[in-house]
Amino acid sequence: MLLEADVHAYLFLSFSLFAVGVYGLLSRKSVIRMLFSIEMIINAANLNFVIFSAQRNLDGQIFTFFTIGLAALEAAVGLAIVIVFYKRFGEVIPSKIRNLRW
Amino acid sequence: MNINFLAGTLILALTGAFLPVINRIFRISGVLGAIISSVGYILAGFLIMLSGNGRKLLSSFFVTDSVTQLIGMLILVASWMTMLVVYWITQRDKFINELVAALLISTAGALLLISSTNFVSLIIAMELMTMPTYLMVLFSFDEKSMEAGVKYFFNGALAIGTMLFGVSLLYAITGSFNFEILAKELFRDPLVALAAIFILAGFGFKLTAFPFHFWGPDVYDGTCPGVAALLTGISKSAAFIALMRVVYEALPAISSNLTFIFALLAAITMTVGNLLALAQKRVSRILAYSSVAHAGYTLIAFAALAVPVSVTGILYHSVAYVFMKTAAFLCFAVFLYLWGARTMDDYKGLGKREPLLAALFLIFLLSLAGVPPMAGFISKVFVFTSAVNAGMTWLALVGLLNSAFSVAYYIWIAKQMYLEEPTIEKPLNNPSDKNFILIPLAVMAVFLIVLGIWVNPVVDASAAFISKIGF
Repeated sequence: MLLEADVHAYLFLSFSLFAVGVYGLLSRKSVIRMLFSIEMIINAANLNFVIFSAQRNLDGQIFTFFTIGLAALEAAVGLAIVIVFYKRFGEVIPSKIRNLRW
Repeated sequence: MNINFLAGTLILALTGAFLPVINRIFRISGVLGAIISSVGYILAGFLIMLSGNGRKLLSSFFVTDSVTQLIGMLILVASWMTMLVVYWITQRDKFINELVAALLISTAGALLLISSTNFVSLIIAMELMTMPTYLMVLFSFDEKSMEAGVKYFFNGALAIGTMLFGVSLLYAITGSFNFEILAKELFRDPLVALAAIFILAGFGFKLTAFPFHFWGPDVYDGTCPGVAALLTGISKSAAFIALMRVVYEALPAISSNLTFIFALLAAITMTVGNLLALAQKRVSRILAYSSVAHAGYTLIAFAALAVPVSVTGILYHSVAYVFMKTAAFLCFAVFLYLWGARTMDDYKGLGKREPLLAALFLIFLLSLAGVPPMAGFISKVFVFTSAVNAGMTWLALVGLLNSAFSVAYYIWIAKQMYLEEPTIEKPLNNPSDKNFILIPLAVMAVFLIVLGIWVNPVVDASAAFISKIGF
Protein backbone atom coordinates (compact mmCIF):
# COMPACT_ATOMS: atom_id res chain seq x y z
CA MET A 1 0.00 0.00 0.00
CA LEU A 2 1.24 3.41 -0.94
CA LEU A 3 -0.28 5.66 1.64
CA GLU A 4 -0.28 5.23 5.38
CA ALA A 5 -3.65 5.24 7.11
CA ASP A 6 -3.39 8.57 8.92
CA VAL A 7 -2.51 10.34 5.69
CA HIS A 8 -6.12 10.19 4.63
CA ALA A 9 -7.10 12.79 7.21
CA TYR A 10 -4.54 15.22 5.81
CA LEU A 11 -5.63 14.42 2.26
CA PHE A 12 -9.21 15.18 3.27
CA LEU A 13 -8.04 18.51 4.69
CA SER A 14 -6.13 19.51 1.58
CA PHE A 15 -8.93 18.45 -0.75
CA SER A 16 -11.41 20.47 1.33
CA LEU A 17 -9.12 23.49 1.23
CA PHE A 18 -8.84 23.16 -2.54
CA ALA A 19 -12.60 22.82 -2.93
CA VAL A 20 -13.26 25.83 -0.70
CA GLY A 21 -10.76 27.84 -2.71
CA VAL A 22 -12.35 26.95 -6.05
CA TYR A 23 -15.82 27.66 -4.69
CA GLY A 24 -14.68 31.01 -3.33
CA LEU A 25 -13.05 31.95 -6.61
CA LEU A 26 -16.22 31.19 -8.53
CA SER A 27 -18.77 32.67 -6.13
CA ARG A 28 -17.19 35.76 -4.55
CA LYS A 29 -17.69 39.11 -6.23
CA SER A 30 -14.88 41.15 -4.70
CA VAL A 31 -11.42 40.90 -6.26
CA ILE A 32 -9.73 40.86 -2.85
CA ARG A 33 -11.69 37.80 -1.75
CA MET A 34 -10.85 36.13 -5.04
CA LEU A 35 -7.17 36.72 -4.24
CA PHE A 36 -7.70 35.00 -0.87
CA SER A 37 -9.20 32.04 -2.70
CA ILE A 38 -6.15 31.80 -4.99
CA GLU A 39 -3.95 31.66 -1.89
CA MET A 40 -6.10 28.85 -0.49
CA ILE A 41 -5.75 26.80 -3.67
CA ILE A 42 -1.98 27.18 -3.75
CA ASN A 43 -1.71 26.42 -0.04
CA ALA A 44 -3.76 23.26 -0.45
CA ALA A 45 -1.07 22.04 -2.81
CA ASN A 46 1.63 23.19 -0.37
CA LEU A 47 0.01 21.21 2.42
CA ASN A 48 0.09 18.09 0.25
CA PHE A 49 3.75 18.61 -0.58
CA VAL A 50 4.74 18.96 3.05
CA ILE A 51 2.67 16.02 4.30
CA PHE A 52 4.02 13.61 1.73
CA SER A 53 7.50 14.99 2.07
CA ALA A 54 7.48 13.64 5.64
CA GLN A 55 6.94 10.16 4.23
CA ARG A 56 8.95 10.27 1.01
CA ASN A 57 11.93 12.59 0.78
CA LEU A 58 12.92 16.23 1.13
CA ASP A 59 12.05 17.22 -2.45
CA GLY A 60 8.53 18.20 -1.51
CA GLN A 61 9.64 20.62 1.19
CA ILE A 62 12.13 22.23 -1.17
CA PHE A 63 9.45 22.65 -3.80
CA THR A 64 7.21 24.20 -1.15
CA PHE A 65 9.69 27.05 -0.80
CA PHE A 66 9.45 27.65 -4.55
CA THR A 67 5.67 27.55 -4.31
CA ILE A 68 5.56 30.03 -1.43
CA GLY A 69 7.64 32.43 -3.49
CA LEU A 70 5.35 31.84 -6.41
CA ALA A 71 2.28 32.58 -4.31
CA ALA A 72 3.89 35.81 -3.11
CA LEU A 73 4.58 36.80 -6.72
CA GLU A 74 1.02 35.95 -7.63
CA ALA A 75 -0.29 38.11 -4.77
CA ALA A 76 1.98 41.02 -5.73
CA VAL A 77 0.87 41.01 -9.37
CA GLY A 78 -2.74 40.49 -8.34
CA LEU A 79 -2.70 43.42 -5.94
CA ALA A 80 -1.06 45.62 -8.59
CA ILE A 81 -3.91 44.77 -10.95
CA VAL A 82 -6.44 45.46 -8.18
CA ILE A 83 -4.91 48.89 -7.49
CA VAL A 84 -5.07 49.86 -11.18
CA PHE A 85 -8.63 48.59 -11.33
CA TYR A 86 -9.65 50.54 -8.22
CA LYS A 87 -8.05 53.75 -9.45
CA ARG A 88 -9.99 53.49 -12.66
CA PHE A 89 -13.42 52.35 -11.51
CA GLY A 90 -13.53 53.30 -7.84
CA GLU A 91 -14.54 49.81 -6.75
CA VAL A 92 -13.17 46.27 -6.67
CA ILE A 93 -16.16 44.33 -7.98
CA PRO A 94 -15.54 43.38 -11.60
CA SER A 95 -18.99 41.96 -12.28
CA LYS A 96 -20.46 45.47 -12.11
CA ILE A 97 -18.41 46.47 -15.13
CA ARG A 98 -19.42 44.54 -18.19
CA ASN A 99 -17.89 45.59 -21.46
CA LEU A 100 -16.86 42.10 -22.47
CA ARG A 101 -19.35 39.31 -22.46
CA TRP A 102 -18.52 35.67 -21.99
CA MET B 1 20.32 21.31 -20.29
CA ASN B 2 22.97 22.59 -22.59
CA ILE B 3 25.01 25.51 -21.27
CA ASN B 4 24.65 27.47 -24.52
CA PHE B 5 20.86 27.18 -24.42
CA LEU B 6 20.81 28.40 -20.83
CA ALA B 7 23.10 31.29 -21.73
CA GLY B 8 20.83 32.27 -24.63
CA THR B 9 17.78 32.25 -22.37
CA LEU B 10 19.59 34.28 -19.74
CA ILE B 11 20.74 36.86 -22.31
CA LEU B 12 17.15 37.24 -23.48
CA ALA B 13 15.83 37.69 -19.94
CA LEU B 14 18.63 40.08 -18.95
CA THR B 15 18.07 42.21 -22.04
CA GLY B 16 14.46 42.40 -21.00
CA ALA B 17 15.36 43.25 -17.43
CA PHE B 18 17.79 46.03 -18.31
CA LEU B 19 15.91 47.65 -21.18
CA PRO B 20 13.64 49.75 -18.90
CA VAL B 21 16.66 50.67 -16.77
CA ILE B 22 18.58 51.87 -19.82
CA ASN B 23 15.50 53.79 -20.88
CA ARG B 24 15.19 55.47 -17.48
CA ILE B 25 18.83 56.59 -17.49
CA PHE B 26 19.44 57.55 -21.12
CA ARG B 27 15.91 58.24 -22.45
CA ILE B 28 16.50 56.14 -25.56
CA SER B 29 14.37 56.55 -28.66
CA GLY B 30 12.09 53.84 -30.01
CA VAL B 31 14.49 52.83 -32.77
CA LEU B 32 17.39 52.44 -30.37
CA GLY B 33 15.27 50.30 -28.05
CA ALA B 34 14.34 48.07 -30.98
CA ILE B 35 18.01 47.75 -31.92
CA ILE B 36 19.05 46.83 -28.36
CA SER B 37 16.40 44.14 -28.06
CA SER B 38 17.22 42.87 -31.56
CA VAL B 39 20.83 42.42 -30.47
CA GLY B 40 19.54 40.39 -27.52
CA TYR B 41 17.43 38.25 -29.83
CA ILE B 42 20.30 37.68 -32.29
CA LEU B 43 22.73 36.68 -29.53
CA ALA B 44 20.15 34.34 -28.00
CA GLY B 45 19.37 32.80 -31.39
CA PHE B 46 23.07 32.29 -32.10
CA LEU B 47 23.59 30.55 -28.76
CA ILE B 48 20.52 28.36 -29.28
CA MET B 49 21.88 27.32 -32.67
CA LEU B 50 25.11 26.33 -30.96
CA SER B 51 23.31 24.31 -28.30
CA GLY B 52 24.03 20.98 -29.99
CA ASN B 53 27.41 20.73 -28.30
CA GLY B 54 28.90 21.97 -25.05
CA ARG B 55 28.68 21.13 -21.38
CA LYS B 56 25.47 19.97 -19.76
CA LEU B 57 24.10 21.10 -16.44
CA LEU B 58 20.83 20.89 -14.50
CA SER B 59 20.14 17.74 -16.47
CA SER B 60 17.40 16.48 -14.16
CA PHE B 61 15.42 19.67 -14.69
CA PHE B 62 15.84 20.64 -18.33
CA VAL B 63 16.75 18.82 -21.51
CA THR B 64 18.05 20.23 -24.78
CA ASP B 65 16.98 17.75 -27.44
CA SER B 66 16.15 18.38 -31.09
CA VAL B 67 12.58 19.38 -30.25
CA THR B 68 13.82 22.08 -27.88
CA GLN B 69 16.29 23.45 -30.42
CA LEU B 70 13.84 23.55 -33.31
CA ILE B 71 10.82 24.95 -31.45
CA GLY B 72 13.03 27.30 -29.43
CA MET B 73 14.50 28.77 -32.59
CA LEU B 74 11.09 29.21 -34.23
CA ILE B 75 9.54 30.74 -31.10
CA LEU B 76 12.49 33.12 -30.91
CA VAL B 77 11.99 34.23 -34.53
CA ALA B 78 8.25 34.71 -34.04
CA SER B 79 8.82 36.68 -30.85
CA TRP B 80 11.44 38.86 -32.56
CA MET B 81 9.07 39.74 -35.37
CA THR B 82 6.33 40.46 -32.80
CA MET B 83 8.73 42.77 -30.99
CA LEU B 84 9.50 44.72 -34.17
CA VAL B 85 5.85 45.16 -35.08
CA VAL B 86 4.90 46.14 -31.51
CA TYR B 87 7.68 48.73 -31.43
CA TRP B 88 6.52 50.16 -34.74
CA ILE B 89 2.87 50.34 -33.71
CA THR B 90 3.28 51.83 -30.25
CA GLN B 91 6.50 53.81 -30.63
CA ARG B 92 4.89 56.99 -29.34
CA ASP B 93 3.77 55.39 -26.09
CA LYS B 94 5.75 56.30 -22.98
CA PHE B 95 5.89 52.73 -21.64
CA ILE B 96 6.83 50.92 -24.84
CA ASN B 97 10.20 49.80 -23.43
CA GLU B 98 8.51 48.22 -20.42
CA LEU B 99 6.11 46.38 -22.71
CA VAL B 100 8.92 45.00 -24.85
CA ALA B 101 10.89 44.06 -21.73
CA ALA B 102 7.94 41.99 -20.55
CA LEU B 103 7.76 40.38 -24.01
CA LEU B 104 11.43 39.38 -23.84
CA ILE B 105 11.10 37.88 -20.36
CA SER B 106 7.96 36.01 -21.37
CA THR B 107 9.80 34.57 -24.38
CA ALA B 108 12.64 33.45 -22.11
CA GLY B 109 10.04 31.67 -19.99
CA ALA B 110 8.62 29.99 -23.09
CA LEU B 111 12.10 28.78 -24.06
CA LEU B 112 12.56 27.25 -20.60
CA LEU B 113 9.07 25.75 -20.68
CA ILE B 114 9.64 23.80 -23.89
CA SER B 115 12.81 22.26 -22.44
CA SER B 116 11.63 21.32 -18.96
CA THR B 117 11.51 17.65 -17.97
CA ASN B 118 10.61 18.05 -14.33
CA PHE B 119 7.46 19.34 -12.73
CA VAL B 120 9.41 21.84 -10.62
CA SER B 121 11.02 23.48 -13.62
CA LEU B 122 7.79 23.17 -15.62
CA ILE B 123 5.79 25.16 -13.09
CA ILE B 124 8.48 27.78 -12.51
CA ALA B 125 8.98 28.23 -16.27
CA MET B 126 5.26 28.46 -16.84
CA GLU B 127 5.00 31.19 -14.22
CA LEU B 128 7.94 32.99 -15.79
CA MET B 129 6.13 32.87 -19.10
CA THR B 130 2.75 33.91 -17.70
CA MET B 131 3.62 36.56 -15.09
CA PRO B 132 4.77 39.28 -17.52
CA THR B 133 1.71 38.73 -19.68
CA TYR B 134 -0.62 39.47 -16.74
CA LEU B 135 0.81 42.99 -16.76
CA MET B 136 1.08 43.26 -20.55
CA VAL B 137 -2.65 42.69 -20.93
CA LEU B 138 -3.27 45.91 -18.98
CA PHE B 139 -0.96 47.87 -21.24
CA SER B 140 -3.42 50.12 -23.06
CA PHE B 141 -5.03 51.18 -19.74
CA ASP B 142 -8.56 51.49 -21.08
CA GLU B 143 -11.64 49.93 -19.49
CA LYS B 144 -11.76 46.89 -21.73
CA SER B 145 -8.15 45.95 -21.19
CA MET B 146 -8.57 46.27 -17.42
CA GLU B 147 -11.51 43.94 -17.40
CA ALA B 148 -9.56 41.57 -19.63
CA GLY B 149 -6.60 41.82 -17.25
CA VAL B 150 -8.66 40.88 -14.19
CA LYS B 151 -10.27 38.00 -16.05
CA TYR B 152 -6.94 36.74 -17.37
CA PHE B 153 -5.22 36.99 -14.01
CA PHE B 154 -7.79 34.96 -12.10
CA ASN B 155 -8.08 32.31 -14.78
CA GLY B 156 -4.31 31.98 -15.01
CA ALA B 157 -3.92 31.80 -11.24
CA LEU B 158 -6.60 29.11 -11.00
CA ALA B 159 -4.80 27.18 -13.74
CA ILE B 160 -1.50 27.27 -11.87
CA GLY B 161 -3.20 26.30 -8.60
CA THR B 162 -4.96 23.36 -10.21
CA MET B 163 -1.76 22.19 -11.83
CA LEU B 164 0.15 22.45 -8.55
CA PHE B 165 -2.50 20.37 -6.82
CA GLY B 166 -2.22 17.66 -9.47
CA VAL B 167 1.55 17.65 -9.19
CA SER B 168 1.29 17.31 -5.42
CA LEU B 169 -0.86 14.18 -5.86
CA LEU B 170 1.71 12.69 -8.26
CA TYR B 171 4.41 13.47 -5.69
CA ALA B 172 2.31 11.74 -3.04
CA ILE B 173 2.28 8.56 -5.09
CA THR B 174 5.88 8.40 -6.28
CA GLY B 175 7.92 10.86 -4.22
CA SER B 176 9.51 12.42 -7.25
CA PHE B 177 9.00 15.25 -9.73
CA ASN B 178 11.22 13.94 -12.50
CA PHE B 179 9.43 12.79 -15.66
CA GLU B 180 11.67 9.73 -16.15
CA ILE B 181 11.16 8.46 -12.61
CA LEU B 182 7.44 9.20 -12.79
CA ALA B 183 7.15 7.23 -16.03
CA LYS B 184 8.81 4.24 -14.34
CA GLU B 185 6.92 4.31 -11.06
CA LEU B 186 3.39 5.31 -12.01
CA PHE B 187 0.74 2.68 -12.59
CA ARG B 188 -2.95 2.58 -13.40
CA ASP B 189 -4.76 3.88 -10.37
CA PRO B 190 -7.72 6.20 -9.77
CA LEU B 191 -5.54 8.63 -7.83
CA VAL B 192 -3.09 8.89 -10.75
CA ALA B 193 -5.98 9.54 -13.11
CA LEU B 194 -7.29 12.25 -10.76
CA ALA B 195 -3.87 13.91 -10.63
CA ALA B 196 -3.63 13.74 -14.43
CA ILE B 197 -7.03 15.37 -14.75
CA PHE B 198 -5.98 18.22 -12.45
CA ILE B 199 -2.82 18.77 -14.50
CA LEU B 200 -4.73 18.60 -17.77
CA ALA B 201 -7.26 21.10 -16.44
CA GLY B 202 -4.39 23.48 -15.70
CA PHE B 203 -3.09 23.06 -19.22
CA GLY B 204 -6.61 23.37 -20.58
CA PHE B 205 -6.80 26.92 -19.23
CA LYS B 206 -3.56 27.79 -20.98
CA LEU B 207 -4.65 26.22 -24.28
CA THR B 208 -8.26 27.49 -24.08
CA ALA B 209 -9.57 23.95 -24.47
CA PHE B 210 -13.32 23.45 -24.26
CA PRO B 211 -14.61 23.78 -20.69
CA PHE B 212 -12.05 26.51 -19.98
CA HIS B 213 -12.19 28.48 -23.22
CA PHE B 214 -14.42 31.32 -21.99
CA TRP B 215 -11.68 33.70 -20.98
CA GLY B 216 -9.75 33.40 -24.23
CA PRO B 217 -11.73 35.51 -26.73
CA ASP B 218 -12.54 38.16 -24.13
CA VAL B 219 -8.91 38.63 -23.25
CA TYR B 220 -7.63 38.52 -26.83
CA ASP B 221 -10.31 41.02 -27.81
CA GLY B 222 -9.89 43.31 -24.81
CA THR B 223 -6.14 43.73 -24.82
CA CYS B 224 -4.07 45.50 -27.47
CA PRO B 225 -3.52 43.21 -30.46
CA GLY B 226 0.27 43.05 -30.22
CA VAL B 227 -0.08 41.43 -26.80
CA ALA B 228 -2.82 39.16 -28.12
CA ALA B 229 -0.32 37.95 -30.75
CA LEU B 230 2.05 36.91 -27.97
CA LEU B 231 -0.71 35.26 -25.93
CA THR B 232 -2.29 33.28 -28.74
CA GLY B 233 0.81 32.41 -30.70
CA ILE B 234 3.89 32.02 -28.58
CA SER B 235 2.64 31.11 -25.14
CA LYS B 236 0.00 28.69 -26.42
CA SER B 237 2.50 26.98 -28.69
CA ALA B 238 4.99 26.58 -25.85
CA ALA B 239 2.21 25.19 -23.65
CA PHE B 240 1.43 22.60 -26.36
CA ILE B 241 5.04 21.39 -26.30
CA ALA B 242 5.03 21.27 -22.49
CA LEU B 243 1.80 19.26 -22.51
CA MET B 244 3.35 16.92 -25.07
CA ARG B 245 6.30 16.31 -22.76
CA VAL B 246 4.00 15.71 -19.79
CA VAL B 247 1.73 13.28 -21.62
CA TYR B 248 4.42 11.30 -23.44
CA GLU B 249 7.27 11.40 -20.96
CA ALA B 250 5.61 11.49 -17.53
CA LEU B 251 2.20 9.83 -17.84
CA PRO B 252 2.49 6.90 -20.26
CA ALA B 253 1.01 4.65 -17.56
CA ILE B 254 -2.51 6.01 -17.95
CA SER B 255 -2.29 7.22 -21.55
CA SER B 256 -4.93 4.75 -22.68
CA ASN B 257 -7.40 6.38 -20.25
CA LEU B 258 -6.51 9.84 -21.54
CA THR B 259 -7.28 9.00 -25.16
CA PHE B 260 -11.02 9.28 -24.84
CA ILE B 261 -10.86 12.48 -22.77
CA PHE B 262 -8.63 14.12 -25.36
CA ALA B 263 -10.83 12.96 -28.24
CA LEU B 264 -13.98 14.34 -26.63
CA LEU B 265 -12.30 17.63 -25.72
CA ALA B 266 -10.87 17.98 -29.23
CA ALA B 267 -14.20 17.41 -30.94
CA ILE B 268 -16.09 19.83 -28.68
CA THR B 269 -13.35 22.48 -28.66
CA MET B 270 -13.05 22.81 -32.40
CA THR B 271 -16.81 22.72 -32.99
CA VAL B 272 -17.45 25.39 -30.35
CA GLY B 273 -14.60 27.55 -31.62
CA ASN B 274 -15.70 27.42 -35.24
CA LEU B 275 -19.41 27.92 -34.56
CA LEU B 276 -18.80 30.92 -32.31
CA ALA B 277 -16.31 32.39 -34.78
CA LEU B 278 -18.97 32.31 -37.49
CA ALA B 279 -21.26 34.41 -35.31
CA GLN B 280 -18.81 37.26 -34.69
CA LYS B 281 -18.65 40.68 -36.28
CA ARG B 282 -15.31 41.89 -34.95
CA VAL B 283 -12.19 40.59 -36.68
CA SER B 284 -10.22 40.25 -33.44
CA ARG B 285 -12.94 38.01 -31.98
CA ILE B 286 -12.99 35.91 -35.15
CA LEU B 287 -9.24 35.39 -34.84
CA ALA B 288 -9.62 34.63 -31.12
CA TYR B 289 -12.29 31.97 -31.66
CA SER B 290 -10.27 30.50 -34.52
CA SER B 291 -7.43 30.13 -32.03
CA VAL B 292 -9.81 28.12 -29.81
CA ALA B 293 -10.61 25.95 -32.83
CA HIS B 294 -6.92 25.43 -33.53
CA ALA B 295 -6.39 24.25 -29.95
CA GLY B 296 -9.00 21.62 -30.82
CA TYR B 297 -7.06 20.49 -33.90
CA THR B 298 -3.93 19.96 -31.84
CA LEU B 299 -5.90 18.01 -29.25
CA ILE B 300 -6.84 15.57 -32.05
CA ALA B 301 -3.16 14.66 -32.28
CA PHE B 302 -3.04 14.27 -28.49
CA ALA B 303 -6.02 11.94 -28.67
CA ALA B 304 -4.11 9.73 -31.11
CA LEU B 305 -1.21 9.31 -28.69
CA ALA B 306 -0.98 5.57 -29.24
CA VAL B 307 0.65 5.98 -32.67
CA PRO B 308 4.06 7.60 -33.28
CA VAL B 309 2.85 9.96 -36.01
CA SER B 310 0.86 11.90 -33.41
CA VAL B 311 4.13 13.44 -32.16
CA THR B 312 4.76 14.77 -35.66
CA GLY B 313 1.22 16.12 -35.75
CA ILE B 314 1.60 17.97 -32.44
CA LEU B 315 5.00 19.40 -33.35
CA TYR B 316 3.98 20.44 -36.83
CA HIS B 317 0.79 22.07 -35.70
CA SER B 318 2.59 23.96 -32.93
CA VAL B 319 5.22 25.16 -35.39
CA ALA B 320 2.68 26.26 -37.98
CA TYR B 321 0.44 27.76 -35.32
CA VAL B 322 3.11 29.94 -33.75
CA PHE B 323 3.71 31.65 -37.08
CA MET B 324 0.25 31.89 -38.56
CA LYS B 325 -1.62 33.00 -35.47
CA THR B 326 0.98 35.50 -34.31
CA ALA B 327 1.23 36.95 -37.79
CA ALA B 328 -2.54 37.14 -38.27
CA PHE B 329 -2.93 39.10 -35.04
CA LEU B 330 -0.02 41.34 -36.01
CA CYS B 331 -1.63 42.07 -39.37
CA PHE B 332 -4.82 42.94 -37.52
CA ALA B 333 -2.77 45.22 -35.25
CA VAL B 334 -1.22 47.01 -38.22
CA PHE B 335 -4.61 47.50 -39.88
CA LEU B 336 -5.96 48.82 -36.59
CA TYR B 337 -3.08 51.27 -36.31
CA LEU B 338 -3.20 52.48 -39.91
CA TRP B 339 -6.92 52.52 -40.65
CA GLY B 340 -8.65 51.97 -37.32
CA ALA B 341 -10.28 48.83 -38.75
CA ARG B 342 -12.01 46.68 -36.14
CA THR B 343 -15.19 45.20 -37.55
CA MET B 344 -15.95 43.35 -40.75
CA ASP B 345 -17.43 46.50 -42.27
CA ASP B 346 -14.22 48.41 -41.69
CA TYR B 347 -12.31 45.78 -43.67
CA LYS B 348 -14.21 46.57 -46.84
CA GLY B 349 -11.83 47.55 -49.61
CA LEU B 350 -8.66 47.44 -47.55
CA GLY B 351 -7.15 45.25 -50.26
CA LYS B 352 -7.14 48.26 -52.56
CA ARG B 353 -5.82 50.63 -49.92
CA GLU B 354 -2.96 48.41 -48.69
CA PRO B 355 -2.26 45.84 -51.40
CA LEU B 356 0.90 44.30 -49.96
CA LEU B 357 -0.31 44.15 -46.35
CA ALA B 358 -3.64 42.68 -47.42
CA ALA B 359 -1.83 40.05 -49.50
CA LEU B 360 0.22 39.03 -46.47
CA PHE B 361 -2.91 38.88 -44.31
CA LEU B 362 -4.51 36.69 -46.97
CA ILE B 363 -1.53 34.30 -46.81
CA PHE B 364 -1.93 33.95 -43.06
CA LEU B 365 -5.68 33.50 -43.27
CA LEU B 366 -5.31 30.81 -45.95
CA SER B 367 -2.72 29.07 -43.84
CA LEU B 368 -5.11 29.12 -40.87
CA ALA B 369 -7.77 27.65 -43.14
CA GLY B 370 -5.33 24.96 -44.34
CA VAL B 371 -4.64 25.72 -47.99
CA PRO B 372 -1.80 23.70 -49.57
CA PRO B 373 1.42 25.65 -50.03
CA MET B 374 1.38 26.90 -46.44
CA ALA B 375 2.40 25.07 -43.26
CA GLY B 376 -1.18 25.06 -41.97
CA PHE B 377 -2.08 22.46 -44.60
CA ILE B 378 0.68 19.96 -43.97
CA SER B 379 0.18 20.21 -40.21
CA LYS B 380 -3.49 19.35 -40.59
CA VAL B 381 -2.51 16.41 -42.83
CA PHE B 382 -0.27 15.02 -40.10
CA VAL B 383 -2.90 15.61 -37.40
CA PHE B 384 -5.70 13.86 -39.31
CA THR B 385 -3.36 11.03 -40.40
CA SER B 386 -2.52 10.34 -36.79
CA ALA B 387 -6.22 10.20 -35.89
CA VAL B 388 -6.93 7.73 -38.71
CA ASN B 389 -3.91 5.60 -37.81
CA ALA B 390 -5.08 5.40 -34.21
CA GLY B 391 -8.42 4.06 -35.36
CA MET B 392 -10.41 7.21 -34.66
CA THR B 393 -11.77 7.92 -38.10
CA TRP B 394 -14.79 9.72 -36.62
CA LEU B 395 -12.50 12.27 -35.01
CA ALA B 396 -10.67 12.88 -38.27
CA LEU B 397 -14.03 13.34 -40.01
CA VAL B 398 -15.18 15.85 -37.38
CA GLY B 399 -11.89 17.67 -37.84
CA LEU B 400 -12.26 17.74 -41.63
CA LEU B 401 -15.82 19.05 -41.38
CA ASN B 402 -14.69 21.75 -38.98
CA SER B 403 -11.83 22.63 -41.25
CA ALA B 404 -14.25 23.07 -44.13
CA PHE B 405 -16.55 25.21 -41.95
CA SER B 406 -13.70 27.41 -40.85
CA VAL B 407 -12.87 28.34 -44.45
CA ALA B 408 -16.16 30.26 -44.48
CA TYR B 409 -15.12 33.01 -42.13
CA TYR B 410 -11.54 33.26 -43.36
CA ILE B 411 -12.79 33.67 -46.90
CA TRP B 412 -15.37 36.16 -45.67
CA ILE B 413 -12.58 38.45 -44.40
CA ALA B 414 -10.79 38.05 -47.75
CA LYS B 415 -13.99 38.87 -49.60
CA GLN B 416 -14.47 42.03 -47.54
CA MET B 417 -10.91 43.07 -48.29
CA TYR B 418 -10.89 42.48 -52.03
CA LEU B 419 -14.40 42.49 -53.47
CA GLU B 420 -16.10 45.34 -51.62
CA GLU B 421 -15.81 49.06 -52.12
CA PRO B 422 -13.84 50.95 -49.45
CA THR B 423 -15.84 52.60 -46.66
CA ILE B 424 -13.08 54.32 -44.68
CA GLU B 425 -11.95 57.44 -46.51
CA LYS B 426 -8.93 58.63 -44.55
CA PRO B 427 -6.25 56.65 -42.70
CA LEU B 428 -6.01 57.07 -38.96
CA ASN B 429 -2.23 57.26 -39.02
CA ASN B 430 -0.09 57.65 -42.11
CA PRO B 431 3.54 57.30 -41.10
CA SER B 432 6.26 57.77 -43.70
CA ASP B 433 8.07 54.50 -42.94
CA LYS B 434 5.03 52.43 -43.75
CA ASN B 435 6.85 49.89 -45.90
CA PHE B 436 9.22 48.92 -43.11
CA ILE B 437 6.48 47.05 -41.30
CA LEU B 438 6.11 44.68 -44.23
CA ILE B 439 9.54 43.14 -43.54
CA PRO B 440 8.73 41.27 -40.28
CA LEU B 441 5.41 40.08 -41.63
CA ALA B 442 7.03 38.95 -44.88
CA VAL B 443 9.65 37.03 -42.90
CA MET B 444 6.88 35.18 -41.09
CA ALA B 445 5.10 34.45 -44.39
CA VAL B 446 8.35 33.07 -45.84
CA PHE B 447 8.81 30.82 -42.80
CA LEU B 448 5.24 29.62 -43.16
CA ILE B 449 5.65 28.74 -46.85
CA VAL B 450 9.08 27.17 -46.43
CA LEU B 451 7.86 25.00 -43.55
CA GLY B 452 4.88 24.02 -45.66
CA ILE B 453 7.11 22.67 -48.43
CA TRP B 454 10.27 21.57 -46.62
CA VAL B 455 8.96 19.12 -44.02
CA ASN B 456 12.31 17.57 -43.04
CA PRO B 457 13.31 19.66 -39.98
CA VAL B 458 10.12 19.02 -38.02
CA VAL B 459 9.86 15.39 -39.10
CA ASP B 460 13.48 14.75 -38.10
CA ALA B 461 12.96 16.40 -34.71
CA SER B 462 9.85 14.36 -34.06
CA ALA B 463 11.64 11.16 -35.15
CA ALA B 464 14.35 11.88 -32.58
CA PHE B 465 11.71 12.50 -29.92
CA ILE B 466 9.85 9.30 -30.85
CA SER B 467 12.99 7.22 -30.56
CA LYS B 468 13.80 8.88 -27.23
CA ILE B 469 10.48 7.99 -25.63
CA GLY B 470 10.68 4.55 -27.20
CA PHE B 471 7.54 3.81 -29.16
